[in-house]
Amino acid sequence: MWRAASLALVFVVAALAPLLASKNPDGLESTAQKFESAQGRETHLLPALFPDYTLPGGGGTAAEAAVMLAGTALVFLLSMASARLLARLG
Amino acid sequence: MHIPDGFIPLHQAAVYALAAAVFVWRSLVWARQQQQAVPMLATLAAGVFAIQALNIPVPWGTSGHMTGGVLAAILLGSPWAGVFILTIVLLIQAFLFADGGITVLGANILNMGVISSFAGYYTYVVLRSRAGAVWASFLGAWLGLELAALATAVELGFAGTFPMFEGLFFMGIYHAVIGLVAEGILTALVVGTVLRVSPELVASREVA
Repeated sequence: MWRAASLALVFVVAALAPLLASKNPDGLESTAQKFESAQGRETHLLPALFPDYTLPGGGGTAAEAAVMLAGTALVFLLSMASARLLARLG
Repeated sequence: MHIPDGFIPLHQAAVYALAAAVFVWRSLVWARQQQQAVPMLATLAAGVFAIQALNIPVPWGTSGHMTGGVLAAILLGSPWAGVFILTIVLLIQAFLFADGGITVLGANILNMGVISSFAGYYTYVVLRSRAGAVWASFLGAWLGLELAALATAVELGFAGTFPMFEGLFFMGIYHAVIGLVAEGILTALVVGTVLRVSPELVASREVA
């Protein structure tokens, strides 16, 4: 029972994250902004499907929530599948 | 704290990738013995992914999020749990969301998966009999994040992206506060709740 409740809570957090998350730069970004040596260094090796957790072309907070829910489901399923596979091998 | 592509030269990133690969391989060995814990492991991985998107504002116009490795390690009784879960989360973040670079995946796994999980988990183990599980998890989570941030600053110092000492200073200060609010309090809250709802869950896990 508590496992189902935990999983439900995880998906609630995922859906609300785009609405509640601070838009301020994080600790690494804030530090990087202080040094000229860090400016212009950031590159992307491959184009991401959902850069910065948004749909290509935007879509607002609802679209971001949908992307977060899909990402959370993907992490859950991938972890479950890989852990099951490894446990079977063990 | 996700290092993006371009912040670390490829030859240095390769060294971090090799070091991370050793820990990831060992975490796969750990995961092979976790038949009973698979649903909880997957739920924790999903939770870590979700909570990492929830940036909490902290002073000086910055923000931070929980990384979750220490929480996973405490609840699953092994730092390898943190390595395993953070590897999956960081892979998906890098390839699908451009959150953290692909060439620097090894460095990110080393910082947030390995250093944070090991430092935080063993701090928790050492302190839990003296300070209680909730305070021990708070301090372990805070220290895990702080050491991961300092390791990131050292790597970026060697890369020439940050000046070494100024980088250490600012990364240390920012993450000392982020660690209190985002990592420490949330980890202690979850561990405290689990101990109330299902204490046998934490107690039954062997120290690895």
